[in-house]
Amino acid sequence: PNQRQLSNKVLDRMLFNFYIYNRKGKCLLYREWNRPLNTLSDDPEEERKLVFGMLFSLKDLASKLSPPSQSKENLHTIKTNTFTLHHFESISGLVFVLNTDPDIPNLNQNLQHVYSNIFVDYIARNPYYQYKIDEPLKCPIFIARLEEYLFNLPSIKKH
Amino acid sequence: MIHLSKIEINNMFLQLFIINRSGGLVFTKNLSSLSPTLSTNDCLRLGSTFHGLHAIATQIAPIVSSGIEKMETDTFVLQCLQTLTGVKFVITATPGTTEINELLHAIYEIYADYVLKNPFYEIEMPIRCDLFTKHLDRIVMKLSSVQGRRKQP
Repeated sequence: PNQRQLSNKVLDRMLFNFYIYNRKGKCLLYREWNRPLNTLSDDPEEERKLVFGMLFSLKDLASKLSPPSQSKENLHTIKTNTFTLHHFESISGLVFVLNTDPDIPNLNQNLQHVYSNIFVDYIARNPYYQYKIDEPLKCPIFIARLEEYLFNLPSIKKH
Repeated sequence: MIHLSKIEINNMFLQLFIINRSGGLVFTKNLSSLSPTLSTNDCLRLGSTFHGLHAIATQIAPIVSSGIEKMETDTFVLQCLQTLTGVKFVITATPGTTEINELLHAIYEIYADYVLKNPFYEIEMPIRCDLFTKHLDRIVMKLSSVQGRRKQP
């Protein structure tokens, strides 16, 4: 119980919400832990599409603004004065988005871990779960492992 | 012969965009030889697109928020200063560049001094003020030379 109280307190200030999108922009997973503001609360589907659309356009902007270079201009973070949006896109086009408190540094690598370890293990390689690329994810153990990982990130626990 | 050291290559301002309150681009300038070459139309489009996305960020935000202040990627960073009047100063730079905040505020200052106070300048129109460009070159040079000398924390 003490551990749960602590993590709830941490959540209240640190993590807002989380999205997973497939290559086509369909939202496969949405988790919300703390959301003081939801401008589009009466139309959640529209909200998911808007987030994906914004990121899609920002990535296009980034490819035009990037200095000529060998590496791809992978988008890591978008910061405002009150929150930071962390982003990771796998080579297969899966997009992971996490909104946090603005003090939390770049979590791009951690989102990469969420994909290559937690997603791949508990969704793609899970013999008991049928993963379909166009359907929302309904896998409780994946969500449990995901939250366990995110709540225990050192940059989040430190606060 | 100008010799670019490794430090200078990694800490460079790339481009400046100034966007008016309606989202139109009023000024753009390449601040280094590494900047991507963009046509005028491309720049106009980028300015308007960024103006829109800056606003969308407040709509999708999980908490009451300003628009996009910073954007970080593998190959560059972007920082935006939005003034109370809705004008946006946007700078792109290579990762690890310090002094972007200082540059943005210095540009805002010379904008107020040499653009807004220019009696021939029409607000919201493209900026064609000689003194502004002169002072811009001066402060970019000054802040670019500070890069690399400041120790990274």
